[in-house]
Amino acid sequence: MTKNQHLLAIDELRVNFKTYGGEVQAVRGVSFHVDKGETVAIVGESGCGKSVTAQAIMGLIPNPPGKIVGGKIVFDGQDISGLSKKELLGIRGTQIGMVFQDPMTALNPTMKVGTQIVEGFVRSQKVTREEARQRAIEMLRLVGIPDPEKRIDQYPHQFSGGMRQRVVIAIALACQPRLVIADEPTTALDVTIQAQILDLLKRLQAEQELSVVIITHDLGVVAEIAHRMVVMYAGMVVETGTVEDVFANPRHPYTWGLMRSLPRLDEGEKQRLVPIDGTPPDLFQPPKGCPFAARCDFAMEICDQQMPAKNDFGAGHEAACWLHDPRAPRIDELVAAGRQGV
Amino acid sequence: MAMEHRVDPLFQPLSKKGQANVISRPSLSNGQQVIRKLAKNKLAMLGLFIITALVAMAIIGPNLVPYSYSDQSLLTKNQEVSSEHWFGTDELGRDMFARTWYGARISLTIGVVAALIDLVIGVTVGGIAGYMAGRGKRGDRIDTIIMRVIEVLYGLPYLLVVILLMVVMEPGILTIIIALSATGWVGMARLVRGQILQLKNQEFILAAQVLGAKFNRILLKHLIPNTFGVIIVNLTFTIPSAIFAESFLSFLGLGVQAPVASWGTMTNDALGVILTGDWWRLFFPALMISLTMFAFNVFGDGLQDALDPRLRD
Amino acid sequence: MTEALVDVRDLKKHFSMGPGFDLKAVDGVTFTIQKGETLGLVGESGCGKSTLGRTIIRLYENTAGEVLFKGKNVHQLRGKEVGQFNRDVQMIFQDPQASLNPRMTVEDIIAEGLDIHGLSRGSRRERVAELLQLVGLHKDHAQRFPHEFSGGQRQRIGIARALAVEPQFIIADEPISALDVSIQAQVVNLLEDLQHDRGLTYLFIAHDLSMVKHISNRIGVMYLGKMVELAASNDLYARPLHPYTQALLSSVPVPDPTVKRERIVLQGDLPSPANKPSGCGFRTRCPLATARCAEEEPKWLEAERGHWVACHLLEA
Repeated sequence: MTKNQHLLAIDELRVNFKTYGGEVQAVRGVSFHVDKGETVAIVGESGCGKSVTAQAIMGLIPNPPGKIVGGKIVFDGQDISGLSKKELLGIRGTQIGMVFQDPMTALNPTMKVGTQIVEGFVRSQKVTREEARQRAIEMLRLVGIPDPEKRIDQYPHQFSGGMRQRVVIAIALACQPRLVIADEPTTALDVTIQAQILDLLKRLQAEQELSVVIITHDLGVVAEIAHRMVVMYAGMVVETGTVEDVFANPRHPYTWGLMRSLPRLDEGEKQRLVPIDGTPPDLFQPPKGCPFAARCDFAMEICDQQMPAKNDFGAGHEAACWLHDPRAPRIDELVAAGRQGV
Repeated sequence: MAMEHRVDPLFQPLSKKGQANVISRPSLSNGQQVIRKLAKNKLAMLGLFIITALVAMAIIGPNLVPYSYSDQSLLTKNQEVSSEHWFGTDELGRDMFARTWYGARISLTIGVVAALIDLVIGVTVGGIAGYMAGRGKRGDRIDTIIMRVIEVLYGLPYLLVVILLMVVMEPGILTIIIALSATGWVGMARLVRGQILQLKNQEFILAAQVLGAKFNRILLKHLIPNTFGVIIVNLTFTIPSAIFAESFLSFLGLGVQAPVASWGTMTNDALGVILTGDWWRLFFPALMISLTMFAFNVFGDGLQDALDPRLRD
Repeated sequence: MTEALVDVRDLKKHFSMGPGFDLKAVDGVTFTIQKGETLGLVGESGCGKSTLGRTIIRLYENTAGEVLFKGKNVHQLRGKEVGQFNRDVQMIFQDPQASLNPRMTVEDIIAEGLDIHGLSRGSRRERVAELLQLVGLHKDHAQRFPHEFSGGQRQRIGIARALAVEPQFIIADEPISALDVSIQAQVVNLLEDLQHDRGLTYLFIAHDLSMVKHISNRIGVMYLGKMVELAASNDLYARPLHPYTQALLSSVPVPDPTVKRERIVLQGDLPSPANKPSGCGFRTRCPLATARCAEEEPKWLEAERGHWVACHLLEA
């Protein structure tokens, strides 16, 4: 194992689901990596495949109807995509922790909170009951729950939404995993509570040198908490790069479209929002070319026919778009020709 | 070298852009989707087939043989299954095949009619209770009264009601139907009320109120149509339940009276076969009761699954 | 001074949760809405903004206080006036799934208002086709069912339904919260265009501050059943006076990594409206709370022209 090895490397992952209408290609060749100590955000809208990707990493795709049909998930040098449920149990929870979206349903309502935290690590580590309890209290303190000695014996319904999410984070961190996957961890929370949780995640990441994969549709959250971002559309990655690079210089029309369609609090002079017309494509019969072509203002013939190649812009900034092919007309020419510009 | 400004044709703007708001798949109403899903459920389809077959036989069965259900003949009594008497004969020489299908008419009719009466009463009562609940003090009071009545009736064993009715009325088909419906509607009422309570808070109901819709319109156009699923599924369970209840009552001697025969009475008449060994007299009516129950239940199960929006894709 | 289109005066809506125990969802709110403007209403869970919207539109009876629409008390309307109100004031709902009757065709859904008020003798189909086109859909969509459409399209159908009766005032209750980000802009633009073309007045209820600021002329901030601040959008952002508004604004993540802000992160949870703190509802989380805040409820005062606040610290 070399020092430069990524902690997590996804390589051309493909996941399909069998439904009554046919086979849905939910994830179609997704690649990205996460290094030690960094937060990578996977951004996209509903149906883009981001949640399925996260579930695939954790081995949580229900089979049937879902199945990983291609690619590799390499965690700490080992391809975990083919592991059996039993082998995955060893990794899930101990090396990779998961934080789910809805704190209401992520916790067992009939089990005390302390028990749920302890459940996580008592199987993998030899600890006495007393030690386990102390650890659980420490975890609650770590995530900022006041009065942890008392609250450890309470049930989930005795906690508010934000507190429950903290408990979910505590459970995820109980085994001191190296990677935490958070699937829309703050979407169900109020804005002031969201701020608390994002702060908590940033602090924990710095203190524990965690790697975090955060799945979200909120570009504000991405800007707030992530180092790098992966933009997904219709089951594929369209752009990756550091958050600074991608926000300052988006290279894919979908990313442009997303950013132009967002209102900003510090807008100043009111600008009309520029939405992306239309809706995402049908994943039963995905188009053979670029999936965004039907909605793209700059689409060219080749976009309809062939999947675009990845272009590298340095410092890990990549985008898959034919506009960057040397044969394509330059963007400024398109702008001059009157088509919507950046 | 001069820059070639001609753009490769592959990189020309895409001429035909997919139309944004077009829906490509053919329109399938809710009903059609449900039928499609149901058709894929083999067990449910088997149930449907059996039901259809039973109903068909109930209609034409007795006409397939030259005997009527009541022709007695001491010469042919207690004959085994043969090519002349496909189901054998009973102790009075009557052809079992004709009797079985004649009995089918009686049993199925009683079952379906009782279930339909249950439906009409249950939907009305449940609908009113569900709609009134939460609409101010008056509404809550109506709902509470209805619920108490339902709870009392729920606890009453129908056997007791039947026996009481026997005191007043002649035993027979009508009496059984009344007895079964008098207490049977409560199940449907509770279900409908529950469904309406759930629907009431859905935004499309609020939207109708905001548009100015009044009580009648909301109940008839919005609440009830969205309760059909629950109603139909319940119907497929109350029919076999009514048929079984009738069989049970007839078995006890409280049901239809001779010469009218139902599966229940035939089973009752055949009790002695344990000692005499003419198994066919018990076997066929009992088989029919079981098949009917089974068929309606699996079909009802399949229907319930097909209608469940969460199981839909 | 022209009469306001909507005038809310000390409105209260309490729900009875048991003897002596009330859920004070809306607890004394006062503001006006001028014709042609968009008033945004923001707040977090339990603040009462949805209940406020529904009480204004008569889905709920008021417990105290009043709502005047064009000068008339909406909860005391009788007979024909009610029908007229239903045509003048309409609502757009949050959940694209639950806001359309799954068993009705799109045509029937949109035409319901026309049917109820008898507005469409003979031209129902044409009217529906017009409305579909108005919201960016196709007239062929009329015979289809809601489940065949995407969330954004369903919201458009809901908008068409509300427009059918030609309202003057539309209450939009979280109309875009359930939609994807790139679709939200489509719907917001549609609402703005409609307002421009038809002179509509909006009450825009939402929890996404960025979007509310974008679309509204003025914004009201609610907390635990009370309005704590009301000002023009730019004013509210540039000079938030109430500590809650300040914290709320600073909590909203901005989609720009270069913007580094001083964030006010509030401690503690949102109290439940069934269990309001005494005095000022915000005092349990307010970094500037004083003893007075626990004893007395702050008064709703116009601190600067057009800028209202309820906070002891600002009472000069």
